[in-house]
Amino acid sequence: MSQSVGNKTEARKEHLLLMSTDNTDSILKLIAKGEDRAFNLLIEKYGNLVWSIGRKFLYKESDVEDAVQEVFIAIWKAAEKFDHTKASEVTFISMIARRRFIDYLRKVSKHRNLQSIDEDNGQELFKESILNESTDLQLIKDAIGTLEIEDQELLKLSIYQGYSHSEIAKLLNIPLGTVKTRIRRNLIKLKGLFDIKQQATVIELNNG
Amino acid sequence: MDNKEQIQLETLLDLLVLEASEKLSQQQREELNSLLDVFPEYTPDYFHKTTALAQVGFYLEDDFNNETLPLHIRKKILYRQKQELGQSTVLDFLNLEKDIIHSAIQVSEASHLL
Repeated sequence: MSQSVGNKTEARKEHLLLMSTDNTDSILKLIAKGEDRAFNLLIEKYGNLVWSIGRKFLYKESDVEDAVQEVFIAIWKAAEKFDHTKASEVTFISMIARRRFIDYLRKVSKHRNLQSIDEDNGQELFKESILNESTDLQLIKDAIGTLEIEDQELLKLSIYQGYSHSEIAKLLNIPLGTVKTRIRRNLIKLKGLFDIKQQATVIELNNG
Repeated sequence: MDNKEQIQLETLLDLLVLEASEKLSQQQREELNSLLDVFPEYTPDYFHKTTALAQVGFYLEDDFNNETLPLHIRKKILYRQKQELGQSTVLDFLNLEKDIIHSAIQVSEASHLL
């Protein structure tokens, strides 16, 4: 199985590089134009991502189901506000999804337990739907790669798994202040790297 | 920047990180707003894009994440969109219910097989 996962990972990495230069028209623009099929395309392309984020943030299946529906309706309503010079489509969608799930998480105040962090379901991967995004996904990967492994894990718990800083401090048995400082420091670093890339993209768009 | 301002800035950044990753309490929200007045070059969504990008990055790097949107949820979303547009019909609702029941039966049968 590990070989299968390894092969998949390699294939995905190759795919990421190819897709970073892809220029497909934005689904959000199609939605804003009122194209009938666009909402279906949106769910097709980003359904797994949004569902996955929801499953990381929320414990109860019924909460995930409700919240995911709300997220897609929110994305659909916000499509007009999408501006590709400010954020890529996948970033815009991820931002809306995160906001909704964070709101929902605090409403239900429940989270998965520690065991689920290392949960390994060992099944095949289904992430191809997101990989057609014309954003520099390689940059994201490289930027995260510049962080110390321990800091990546901290950010993963906070950003990807949705744990609060207090929960992380308890889970890892480190002081809350340390958690806060390290997460803050690394987010500032990532922001710096992403902002540089965005400025370069805007200049490119203006020249092209 | 003097010491006081430095401390204020660090508090502001901590609150902005929290804003991007957790829900702020009313007290934290008020403190954030007052610090944003002191440092107007910062905005409440200062880290939102960074956390969203990092979220996608971690998702793509997670070899063991195999979450797929269930078909019945996909149908529920489409139904809700139709409702929002005022285009849903009784038939749509009945079809949706039928699909949900069908999915539940499939899940139940699959769990018996395990």
